[in-house]
Amino acid sequence: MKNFIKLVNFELNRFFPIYAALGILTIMLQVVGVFITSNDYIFQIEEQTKMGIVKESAIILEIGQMGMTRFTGSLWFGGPIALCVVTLLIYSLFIWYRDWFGKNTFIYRLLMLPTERLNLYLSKAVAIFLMVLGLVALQLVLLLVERQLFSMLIPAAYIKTSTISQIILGSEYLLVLYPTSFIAVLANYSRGFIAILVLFTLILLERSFKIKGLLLAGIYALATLIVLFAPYWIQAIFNRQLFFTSELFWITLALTFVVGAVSIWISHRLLNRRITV
Amino acid sequence: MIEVKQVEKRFGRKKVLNGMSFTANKGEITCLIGINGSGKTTVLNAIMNLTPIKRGEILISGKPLTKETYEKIAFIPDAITMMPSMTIQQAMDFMNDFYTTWNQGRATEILNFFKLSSKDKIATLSKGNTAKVNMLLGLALDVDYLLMDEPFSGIDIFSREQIAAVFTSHLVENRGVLITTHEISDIEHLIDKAVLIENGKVLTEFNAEEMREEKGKSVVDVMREVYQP
Repeated sequence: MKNFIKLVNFELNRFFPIYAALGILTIMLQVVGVFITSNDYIFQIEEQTKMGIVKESAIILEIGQMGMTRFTGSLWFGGPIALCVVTLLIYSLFIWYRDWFGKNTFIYRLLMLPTERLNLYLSKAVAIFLMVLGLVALQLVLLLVERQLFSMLIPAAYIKTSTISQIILGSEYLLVLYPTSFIAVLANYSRGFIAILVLFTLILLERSFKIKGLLLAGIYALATLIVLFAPYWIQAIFNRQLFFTSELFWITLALTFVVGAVSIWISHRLLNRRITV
Repeated sequence: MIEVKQVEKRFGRKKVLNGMSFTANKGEITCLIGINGSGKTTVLNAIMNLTPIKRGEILISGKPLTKETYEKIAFIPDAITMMPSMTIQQAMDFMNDFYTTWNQGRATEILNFFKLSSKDKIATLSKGNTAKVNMLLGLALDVDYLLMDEPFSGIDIFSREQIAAVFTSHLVENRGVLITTHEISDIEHLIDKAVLIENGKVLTEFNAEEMREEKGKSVVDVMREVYQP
């Protein structure tokens, strides 16, 4: 356990410079976005005033109130989130391949550590997961800051005040990051974590069997999709609704955990018996 | 004792280890000699479970390798096993974090012996100094066995002399050393046992001193007989 925690810490430290830059970039882009969106809105108010509309209610009728959803639907908000998602996805591949390729033969050292090799797999997955959680937490704080900034930049009469939960409910992808129920939080984040485990298993298949491994990885990815969507395939085959929505939720969640357990087992065997430097 | 018994391994259709068997004793320097592609590096990787074998058995002190074995056996490959972005100090801290057998006193001694600065970044080191850091990371572990893959390969004469000096020092005393090389001249006078291999098989193995005393042949003489009959 001690070695596992050390490995997680080590992996987090390795990515920290890029991760910190990513966080700072997200903050900068979104804050700049708040200013630009506010300026655009104020410009619209001024345009209306120039056209002779002076009453606030009349202007609001024309251009609408400034709500957070106007911002969360913009590229200034979604862009940095997409950038974070893509960077972490790329890093999920890089976190393994960086130890093999180029001048780096660090994989020798990692595989020769006096600890269970599965710890390498789990520590890298946990590191990625913690990075995701860190960015999700940062985004939540940013939402509060951005809402405050809007209220400072735009006259109160034009602001459509909304609570954080209203802001989240108003955006589809924010709802994925911040689900409304505890069960949904557990389900979404365990799915995300298991997706990382599956990806890592695919990488280990490739690293263990090289070109043949690519084929095996393809087969495993396909098998995973078949298992995860099995209830939907079954319903499609029988052309009828066999499960209630809640049943589908629990069955797919259970299948996700099965896929996670199988991925860990396969990776454990690959790391101990098949992996090659 | 390290026991390699009838080990087979293939890379695709090519058999790189073809029933290889030999032993390396504690307290002795055993040298695996063979031309490039004879299976020297592969067998070291196999001993450390860094590559799977198809058949055969490898035992270290009578037992198959487990995670605990990595506290008893150290491998010094021909490439640095630390991240180039690390300083030597960070590399030593990493080892200290994970290995209970890490001996910082000895690490400092080796650092001074090789005239290295702990503040230097691995990426900025010359090939010779990188090889020395690699040696340091292996030698500073209080292990029973040391595996070294081509420690003299591609480095300058003075670095070679410094590394060769390690073999006559207390740094390898009482340990079992298994070294691979195709440049035997650097350590011919130091080795206890020679294992000559070709195409993944052991052609012959002998005690270097006995060979010198009984038959008056050096390791190079035997190599000539075996490889150029």
